[in-house]
Amino acid sequence: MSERTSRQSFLGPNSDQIIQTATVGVVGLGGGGSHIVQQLAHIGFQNYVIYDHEVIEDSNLNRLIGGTVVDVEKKQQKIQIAIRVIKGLQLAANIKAVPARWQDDPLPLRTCDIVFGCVDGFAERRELEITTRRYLIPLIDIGMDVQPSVEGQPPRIGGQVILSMPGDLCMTCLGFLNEKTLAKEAARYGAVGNKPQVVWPNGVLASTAVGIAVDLLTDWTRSLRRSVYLSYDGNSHMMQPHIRLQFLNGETCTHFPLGNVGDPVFKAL
Amino acid sequence: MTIQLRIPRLLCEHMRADLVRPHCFATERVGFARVMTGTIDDGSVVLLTSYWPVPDDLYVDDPDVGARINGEAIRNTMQDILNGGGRYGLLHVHMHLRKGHTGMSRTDLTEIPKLVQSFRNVGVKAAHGLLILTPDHAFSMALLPGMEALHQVNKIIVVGYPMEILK
Repeated sequence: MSERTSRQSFLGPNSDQIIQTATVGVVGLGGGGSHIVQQLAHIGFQNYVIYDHEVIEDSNLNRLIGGTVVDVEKKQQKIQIAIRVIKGLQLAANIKAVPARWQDDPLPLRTCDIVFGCVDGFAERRELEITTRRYLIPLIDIGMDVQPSVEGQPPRIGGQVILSMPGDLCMTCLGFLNEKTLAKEAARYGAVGNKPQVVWPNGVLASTAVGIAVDLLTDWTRSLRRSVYLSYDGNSHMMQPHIRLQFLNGETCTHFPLGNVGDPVFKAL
Repeated sequence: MTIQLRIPRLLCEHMRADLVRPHCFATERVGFARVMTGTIDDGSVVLLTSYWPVPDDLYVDDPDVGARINGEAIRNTMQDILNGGGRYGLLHVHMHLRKGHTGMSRTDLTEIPKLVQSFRNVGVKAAHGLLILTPDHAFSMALLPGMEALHQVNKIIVVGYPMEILK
């Protein structure tokens, strides 16, 4: 155990080695993903696959960790900011940086041992889950949303952290993804607007996701043995297991059979 | 070129539990696992999807080796590969009881590559190979489509609660 990681020795005698061996993927390096890469680098992860194709804008500075005014002036890519953050903490880190949509270059993603999904929208979440399931990779999804003020009530901040483990319940089983929400989102396609986003809920969600990943790899709590679906209420500052989990005890996933893995094969009819 | 092998934890635990069951004369047990393959950035990933043990009555009583299986057991596996039509291949699976890293014994080196070649003969488009489990580790070699010989798997990942990354 190195001096740098001596304060996290409770994670186990081999935790340094486990963390250094793992390859982590982060899809989306905005408000959520920028928190995640920073924390992963602090913890000591050495192998990264990161995806983002966007350039930082002034409106990102309220929440993008590592982003600066100079980055906005230089129209810096978000992925370059993430590399700078990681390399500032882990000089020898191996970073496969893909400045494109993950769908356009999915092969690096498939090398990951754990993937963090920090994407917008339900359809993209579903695509990412399909891919990670296909290659037996655990996916930890985070997301937040702000519902506008209604009838004099204050706006509501909500969010979720979901661990989608191959062989276990998926985001559809958990009720997070369903045809209704996907159809609603598709109907809104093209109606671009500025979604409200702030730094602190992203921080809470990202920290929780990183904690789940570390637990999954080191098993330091010896208690993470089933799907995770945490619901975040940003008005009361509470994170708690989603109520649906109570009704899914013993259920198995029917959406992603274990036989449907690997590269798709086309069969002649 | 790297080769990864990913094994769902429940299957890994099932295989370990199955392979330590006593047999009336064999001192080891053998099973077979179906695998599918995927392309990754710098190589291939082999994905284990199911496992079945060789039935007790298909072992041959041979005191010179831990376990020897008969022709019917081998024909069954080859038929399974044929039935799959190239969608999946097979790994020969057995267990070494000593903890820690392991590798192929002299018997393994003599016998298993020949069996894997037989798998290749009936399933050219699929990956085949071998998996040796220990109580806390694993060793694997794979013969991917287009390869001339077995290659050692660089990284084995047990996927589940918790994860295990074996190098």
